[in-house]
This record gives sequence, structure tokens and C-alpha cells, in this order.
Amino acid sequence: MVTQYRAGLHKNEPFLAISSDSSLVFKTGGQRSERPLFVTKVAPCRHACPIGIDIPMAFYLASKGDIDGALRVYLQENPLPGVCGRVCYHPCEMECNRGNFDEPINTRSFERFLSDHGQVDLKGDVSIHSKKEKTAVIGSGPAGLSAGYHLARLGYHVTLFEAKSELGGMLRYGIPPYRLPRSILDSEIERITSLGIQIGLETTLGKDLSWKDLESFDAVFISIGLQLGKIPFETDGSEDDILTGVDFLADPRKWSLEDDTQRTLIIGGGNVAIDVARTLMRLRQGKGNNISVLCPESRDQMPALPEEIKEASEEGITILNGWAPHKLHRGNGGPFFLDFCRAEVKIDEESGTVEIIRVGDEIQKHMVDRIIVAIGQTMKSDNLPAGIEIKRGRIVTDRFGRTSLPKVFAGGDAVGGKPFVADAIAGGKMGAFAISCFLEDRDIEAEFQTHQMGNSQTFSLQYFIERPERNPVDLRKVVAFDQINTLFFTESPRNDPDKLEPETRKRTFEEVICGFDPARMEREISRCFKCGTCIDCEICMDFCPDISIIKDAELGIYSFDFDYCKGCGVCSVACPRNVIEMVWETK
Amino acid sequence: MRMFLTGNHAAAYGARLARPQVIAAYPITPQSPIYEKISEWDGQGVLGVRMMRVESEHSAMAASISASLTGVRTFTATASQGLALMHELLHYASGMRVPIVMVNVNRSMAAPWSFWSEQTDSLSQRDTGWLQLYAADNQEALDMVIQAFKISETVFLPTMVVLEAFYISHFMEPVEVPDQKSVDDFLPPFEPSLKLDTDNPAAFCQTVTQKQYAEFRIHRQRAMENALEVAEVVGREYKERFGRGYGLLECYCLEDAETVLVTAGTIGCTARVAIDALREEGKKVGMVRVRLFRPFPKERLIESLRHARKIAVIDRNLSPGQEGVFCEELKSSLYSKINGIPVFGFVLGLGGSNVSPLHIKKVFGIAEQMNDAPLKPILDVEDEDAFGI
Amino acid sequence: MACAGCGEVLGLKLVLQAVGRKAIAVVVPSCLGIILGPYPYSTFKIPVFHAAFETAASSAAGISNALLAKGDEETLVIALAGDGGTTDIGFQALSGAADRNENIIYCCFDNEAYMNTGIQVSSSTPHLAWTMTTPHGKALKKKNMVEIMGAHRIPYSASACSCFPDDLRRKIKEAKKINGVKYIHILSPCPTGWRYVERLTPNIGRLAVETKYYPLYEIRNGEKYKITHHPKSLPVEDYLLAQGRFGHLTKKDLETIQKEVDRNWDELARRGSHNSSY
Repeated sequence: MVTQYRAGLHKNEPFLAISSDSSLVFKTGGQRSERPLFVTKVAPCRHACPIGIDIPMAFYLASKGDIDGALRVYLQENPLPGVCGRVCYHPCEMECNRGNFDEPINTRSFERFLSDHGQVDLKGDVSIHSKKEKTAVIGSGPAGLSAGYHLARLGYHVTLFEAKSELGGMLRYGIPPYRLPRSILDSEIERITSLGIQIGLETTLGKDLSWKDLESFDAVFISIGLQLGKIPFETDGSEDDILTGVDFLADPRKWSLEDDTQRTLIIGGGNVAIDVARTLMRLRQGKGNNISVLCPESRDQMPALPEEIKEASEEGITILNGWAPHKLHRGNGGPFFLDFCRAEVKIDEESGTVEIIRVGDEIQKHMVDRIIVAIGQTMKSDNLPAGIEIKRGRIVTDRFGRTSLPKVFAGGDAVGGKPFVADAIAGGKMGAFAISCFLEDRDIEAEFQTHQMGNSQTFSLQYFIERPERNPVDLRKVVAFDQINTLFFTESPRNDPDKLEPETRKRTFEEVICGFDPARMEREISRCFKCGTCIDCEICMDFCPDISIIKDAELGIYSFDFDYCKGCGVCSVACPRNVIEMVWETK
Repeated sequence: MRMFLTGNHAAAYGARLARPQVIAAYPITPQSPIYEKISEWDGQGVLGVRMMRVESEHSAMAASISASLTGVRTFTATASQGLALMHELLHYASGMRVPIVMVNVNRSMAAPWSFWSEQTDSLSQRDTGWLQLYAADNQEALDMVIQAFKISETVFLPTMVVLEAFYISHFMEPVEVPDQKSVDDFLPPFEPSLKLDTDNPAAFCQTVTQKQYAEFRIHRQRAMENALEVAEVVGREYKERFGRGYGLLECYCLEDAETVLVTAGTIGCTARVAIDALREEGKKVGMVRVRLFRPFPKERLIESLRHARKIAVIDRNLSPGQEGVFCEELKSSLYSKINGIPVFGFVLGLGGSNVSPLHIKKVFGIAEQMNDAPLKPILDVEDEDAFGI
Repeated sequence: MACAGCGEVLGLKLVLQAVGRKAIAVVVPSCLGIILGPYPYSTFKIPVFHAAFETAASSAAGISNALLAKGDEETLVIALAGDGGTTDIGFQALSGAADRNENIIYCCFDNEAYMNTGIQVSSSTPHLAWTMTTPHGKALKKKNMVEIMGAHRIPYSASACSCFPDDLRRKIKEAKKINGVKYIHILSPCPTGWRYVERLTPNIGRLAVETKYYPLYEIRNGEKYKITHHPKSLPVEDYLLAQGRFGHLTKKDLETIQKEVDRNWDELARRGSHNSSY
């Protein structure tokens, strides 16, 4: 009876303020004046690397345990990670943003780790011999190997000519095995040549191979390097006991230098000089009392890598700075008398030219039995094609490696530029790119602009081959340190690899630097900021106050829900690695 | 079963029989024995209630509201200061239409401090949207509590059952306490369909627009108006089952009464004695005692007073600057319905001071003698001069 | 429904995601009340009761007891209030609920003033901060709710920050496992009231913690202290001067605050160090 008096309302009339409709009807996206965008940018390490390797992407893949994937990223630009991971001068580490936070990432050791532990079979990836054009590469140093590798990846037929009996150029005949073991070099080269590259060993340009023979190729890349050492003095008597560093390193045991009683002087302050000294030490079973290195540069100015100098000093090699060779005397067959004067080196910042200036009158006399000179190299330029422009001992090219002759390209030491392995590899890559544009009749300027990183010479060949799917990529934007949100990172010391003890290592040619064990590598990998690259950390999603960053679980892609995104910009600040940008809304 | 109980304990029994599920309470003289009795039962394990011994009346009401919204039957009790502390939430409870039943023991409002009976505390809350029932004795206290649950759960409005401090709360009387089964049959379990429920998630009590608010208020007013009928029906059902019926008003000796006393609470019991005495003397006097104050039973009152020539109202309360509340509400109901009948408003028993049969006889006497009722309330009947206002 | 860049709705999102669907929430007037949405649209996917201002804890306790009366021991009850509704007007109800150890999770979203009503001072506003009702900077210090709740000996009292999502989520998950009152104090940066460009919310929140100005820690049963994030110990001015509400601070003010922060941290570290087994 009472129930009929219940509230007296219709069933649908709400008599209580109860809501069950969703507030999703309020599309707060209308409030926006800016909108976020995911834009992958270039990390400073990648920008500094002459080869333009996508280092953060490799670190990201490695952090997920995908070592093979990370190695593959390296191989997209650099065919010689095992080499660079041991000998590169690591400009990447010098520009590393982490270096402004605590200490730079040990990127070189990372590259080596990938090469040592990763497995990649390239043959399935690349389109070998998919094109009909035939290309020739002359000289199989790092520039030539790189050019051949990339040309093969681009689909062209490649024939690689090498004057010596083995491939490698300075990698084999210049860099000693305790820095770059031969087995590593061989397997790196094998990976390159397995891409169907034809090889002509013991083939010297001008002798076994004429320029006319080369005319049948659609394009030629010259990377003959600088094989001749320089000796700065006029001498009297035989020159057998005066060697160039390059000649010594090409075959150290040829010169009867094992006798440790021979007072041996090495002139030069670069890596070659240091390599000579340390090689000599090892030939002499670790007895270094009769080995000295003299150079005009101060310790800081020495062009050799600081870590090489340090290792040499640890091994007990005497380095005397600030002395330039002045005069050389020799009696018949006896020891040399070499006068050194106090000197200073002035490096012109702009042109890069180096000037040795004598300081004062002081003369130091050294009595030595053998002299090895490592003060620079020159090119063997006879046998180059007629009409090719050469200036100051280098082949003249434009920034793309094009010479004055059509269909002739050049790179590496032969064209000048920085005398480092990485730069040579970059030169080879550039050559392959230029040849491809030439053969496909593409506008090389426009192509380069599209794939250029920042404002540098570095560009992405991988993107030239295949543009990445994920996120827009702006190669012009290099992530600066102040764009990294350091509040999301904790300081930690850099991990460095172990080295053999100096007393032990100076007697053998065993590799001095050990590789990282996986645990230590993992710690170092976690230190990398991965500047400008999205690593799916989802910090942006955690911080979005409006739940407007959504993940497509199947495709693994993140996007913004612009129905609700208010453009507050919190995500752009929270992203520790600067992947999110805010841009003005346009009508 | 017949028991000799104080009004507080009678009310406690009423609550216990109604099987509440959550009781949140805070002690205050003169309500404390209700809280204590319930605690004793809780300690014995006979109550089946979640007791919340909260830290203030405000929290007691807050917890009662949210518990009720979660779909359980709730009961609480308080008095004067505690009721006033709950004031904000009384509006809230009514606005959220929760069927809480609360016993309020009328006690004088401070300042100054006094613990004895006065109706001003509950009447101050008459605009909060609660039903208000005024008991006159311990039996009514128990019966009203049980009926209140049924009324509230039908109309979805909270109900206050009002007892007077000490006159009801602490005086002992024989009370008929029904058995549990009969009460279970009369009052089924509380099972609302709209509640806080993870199976049907919804947001309760958000911000509304002006028009929506007005709509909610209109609905509530309709429910209040509907409650008049519901209260009568529930009263009838209760009488059928338990043998005691009340209705919205108690009419005493009304048949040929010329001067009718309108009052509420224990003064009504005293008035019966005075009226019997006056009737012996041949005076045609009678009484209407208001039980349901909110919603105000206008029609029933008008009906019962139709034949009266004069009306006297005794209020054990005073709205400062106006008059006694029952008088004021009565006058506004009578306006334009019964013209010309003088209504004499008396305010007696403030602060719990005694209102004896003699006082009431004097009230009738004054009403008889004066032709025109004064605008202001008559505040004293002891002093002869006092009523020459 | 919050301001762009709001640190409070960020915290709310994280809390609700961690709490899950088997829960009933109580919300009281505060920015949360607005974030809840206008009738008849709700922004929550769980049932929620928008109760009277000072009743967050008591309303939550009522629901908790009602559920227990119905035999439901599974459904969680969470009280969500602002700093004003917790440290000022809602304090009594919270203290009472803590005393009775009601089974609720209480989250105080601390944006350090009555922000919803236009930036008025609360007892949670920090020392020297500007608000509309302390235009020359607040002379009094901030009430330390985590310690106060710890002193109630509730099973779990913790400080959290919406800009440390993993830490906040972990603390909610921890709270879910415990029976009794669990108090989580969530620092919620407010661009509108703290006066900074809204996109910087992540940095402001993180700087508060990294400068030790707002340590992240938890107290169990009033005894066991554990610091849950070891800060970088950046100088407090990195945090303070990034916000307009501290723009008037003098060098001396900064030194004063740095001393206060260092002293508080040392005391906290001392307490935390006694629990080496924890």
C-alpha cells in the first residue's frame, strides 16, 4: 500500500544529482594554441661522427637487448665498426651531451662491443647487383672499402683494386695489431667483400691497371691514400737507416730493428709516431731504453690521441716535446748526429696550417743509430688519369667527392681533409652517394640537403636508401645539452674498459684494450641519454595531465589525441631527450 | 513485551528493531544514553551494526550520508549543539535524498549553557528539508522511530524524531516493545537501486546549473508534500499491526471545543490534565497536538480547527524577533482559510522550565478573556501584569 | 577539466590508474571537485561521491563501514581532497578517521593553497610564498601532514609527488595491500597559483624533490621511516626562483629557507637511517 506513494515521480526523472554520462563530450582540444609533435632529431654524437651513424638508435636497441639490431644500425652507415670501435678518435664522445652532465658515454667501446658480440647477415638486406652499372674502386683502405660497401648496397657491381697483396690499406699496413688485431680486420673485410664485390689484388694503377682499362666502368672511385712518408732533411750517405714511419709499420720486421741496443729516434708527434714507438718496443721484447720520440709540439698539441700518448708513456716510451729536427750529420756507416732546436708549433685555427717556429738558440745533439720519421705523408700521384686536377699534393674534389673529370670520384687521404679512419670511411660513403646520384641522374645538391645532418658534411645514407617510417625526422635539428631534461637522470661515472698491464703488454702484440663484459656494457648503455630519439620510455604518457597521448599497442606507435590535448606543453618538457616539440596551431 | 524504560532507551529499542546497518554517533547530554545503550548491545554482539564512534556530530552526519548512499540503513542521534554543528549537512542529507533517521533530543541552545528541554534546536532546522516528528511520551518515541524508517525509505527524505530532554529522555515509563519479527514484517530491508556501486559507477552530487538546481528543489518539495499522505498511511499500517495509531495530529476533546489549544511534545500530556479539569468546570476546551511538524499538516489542522472560536498556541520555543514557531506556522496555514479567529501565541517552558497544568489553565483563561489576540507572543503567565501587552 | 599543465590532475590520473575499477571515491570541494565535471557528465570511471568540504575522511569512512556492513571486503575506498580540505577544515575528520584506523586510502593533493577559489593561503602554503591573502609572503611555515599522520601511528603515511609517477604508483599499490588508514600526500605543482609557465610542471615537481625541499619518504606505524628517493641535493633556489610566487625572495630569505631545508633533511635522514633492515 505504501509503495504507490514512492517519490511520485516518473521512472526517468532524476531526483538525485547522479551522473553516469561520460565527460568525454567536452573536447578540451579546442583550448589549444600550440600542439605537440613527435620529431626525431639528431644527437650531437651522430652529428659529430663523420659517418653519421645513428648512435642513439643503436644504444636504444642495445638497451632492449637487441645487440644484433644495434649492430645493424651501425652497419647501415659504417662497414667497419670493429675497426672504428678500436681506433677511432671518437669525436662522438667529445660532443656527447652526457659529457656536460657528468662524463661522456664510452661510445667507442660500445661500437666495439657490438662488433664483437653482434651477428648480422647483410646479404639478405641489400639489393646486390640489382643495378646494371659497373663501378671501380681503386685502393682498399678505409675509404675504398667504405665506397665499395655502399656501392654494393646500392645495387651496383663493384670491382675493388688493391696494389698490395692484402686488402685494408692503412688499416693493415699502418695500424699495429695491438690496436687492431688482424683477425678482426679480416672478418670486417670479409663482411664487406661478401656482398659480391670483385677483388683485384696486387694490382697497381699504372702498372697492372691502366686508365684505359678503367674506361669500361661507369664510374670510378679513387682512394689511393698517401703512401709516401716525408723525410725532412737532406742527407748525405745512404738513407737505409732513415725510414719513414709508413714503411716501418707496413712491415716492421723487414728492417732489422729488433736489436734493442740500436739507439732509435722517432721524429713526429702524431699517431704514426706513437704507433712506431710502441711497435718497436714490442719488437724489442719490451726493452725501450733506446727508443725516444721527439716532436716540436707541446704535449697538448701533439696530434696523436691523448689515450695513445698515455699508453705509450705507461709502456715507458720517452717522449720529448718542443724539439724540431735541425740538422743531420753522418759519418760513413757510423751513427747519426742529429741536431734539434727548441721549437714551438703554431696552428692557424682557420686554415689549419701548422707552422714550426724555432725558439731561441738552444741546440740539443742526439747520437742515434736509426731514425724513423713520421711527420706526414704524401700522395703517389703518377698514374692518375690525365686531366685530373691536383693541388698541393691532393686530388681536388668538391664537397661531394667529384673530381675535375666526369665519372671520376675520389675520397680519403688522397683528397686531404682530416687524416682519420672515420673521415676516410665518410669520404667513401660520400663517394658512393655521389656516384649513385650521377648514375641515376639525381640532383645531388637536393638529395644531400634532404639527408644532411645539421649544417655539417655528415649525412644519412641509410635515409637516402630508405626513409624511416616512424615519427617525422628532422635531421637539421641537433639536440643541444640544454634541451636534455637532466632532472630525469642521475649522475654516474663513465665505464672504461680494462687494459693489459703495461709491463706485460709491451712485450707482445696482443690487443691492449679489452672489450667490455656484457654487465659493464649494460651499465654504460643505460647512461646514454639517447638524445632526440624516442625510446618508448612513456614518460610523456605518464606526465600528460589530459591522458592525450595514446599508444597503438599493435603497431607500437604513439600519437596525440587532439580532441583533448590542451597544448600545455608538459610532454615537451618531460621528454628527457627532446623528442617532442610544440608548434603553433595553424588554421 | 512490556518494559519500564526511559525515553532514550525506548528510542534505542526502536532503532535496534529497525535493524540499522551503520550507526555513526557522538555523545551529548541528554542523548548519550541512546549512544551508550547501542554501544552496550554492540559489545554484546546482538546488534549486527557497524558502529562508528566518531569525533564530532559533523562527522557523524557526514558518515551517515555517505553510508546511506552506499545503500545501507543508517541511524544516528544528537541534541542542540550537536544538531547545530550538523546544520550544513542536514541540508546535504536532504538534498541527496538519503533516508537517515535521527533522534534529536530537544535541548536549549547555548549561549548561555543549559541542558534542559527546549524545541528551538530542532525548529531552527525546519528549513533543511528533514521530516520532523515530535513525540509526547516514551511509547511514541519508540513507535515514531520505527515508523520514521518506513516513511523515509518511501519518500527518500531524512526524518528527525524529536524527544524532549529529561521529560522524555530520562523519565521512565512503561513501554510496549514489539518483537523483532513483527517489525521485520512491517519494515522490509533497505535496498535502494541508486547507490555507490562499482557495478554501476556514477558520480553523485556534482555541480548543477541554476535551472537544474531549481528542478531538484521542486522534486524535493513534491516529495515533502507526498510525505503527508505517506505518513498517514504508514501510521494506519502501524496501528493495524501493533495496535497503536497516531496520525499526524492528536485531537483531544475537540468535538464541541470553543477554545482549542495547539501545542506539541510533553506540554500536550500536561494539557490533557488541565483540559480534563476545565471540562469538569464546564469549560468547552480542547487540544490539537501536532505530531508531524514537517511537512506541516496544514489541511488536517485547518480541518480540526474549523469549529474553534479561539485558538491558543503554547510553544516551548521562540524565534527571536518573531514568535513561537508552531504559532507562526499555524497562523500562516490558517490565513485566508479560517477568517477572524483569534490566535493567541504563548511561549512557555523556555530553557526547560516547568509548564504545569496550572499554567495551562491560565493560558485558557487568558484566551477566554481577551477578544483580540496580540501580535506579539505572550511570554509569561505567572505575572498578572505580564499579559497586558 | 583542469587548467592546462595542471600537476594535480596528473597525480589524480596516476592514482586512479593504480587504484583500478573496484573502488569508490570521495571527492570534496577543491580543484578536484571541478575536475570531476558538471552534472550529468562524470570524468571518473568509478563511483564517486562529491561530499561536503570538510568531510573527505568522514564520508570515506562512512562508505567503508557501509561496505563492511554489506560484507564487502574487496572494494577500496579512496578519499581525494585538496590541501585546504585536509590540513585546515578537514583536519578534524581526518584525525578522527586515523584514530579509528578506518580502512581508507586518503590522498591529499597539495597545490599549497586554496587554488580552486582563487589562490588563498592554507596551512599547507610554504614559508614566504605569495598568495592572494598573503601578498607579502606567508609568515608561517608549512604544516607537515606526513609527520602528523605518522604521529597518529596509522599503518602507512607517505609523501609523493605527481612528477615522480613510478614512486606515486608504487605507494598507492602498497597502500592497497594494507588495512587501515593510508595517507598519501601528493605534491601537485600548480602553474596558475605558483606562477610559472604551464609546460614546466615536470621540472617544478622534480626540483621540489631534488632540492630536498620536499623529500619523498614513507612512515609505517609511526616508527619506520624510509626515504624513497635520494635527491641530487640541488640548491633550493633552483626550485624557488623558478616560480613567480617566490619571486620576491631576498638573498637572506633564500639562505633562511636553505637552512630550514637542510635541517629538516638531516633530521629525516637520521630517522631513516635507524631502519637499516628496511
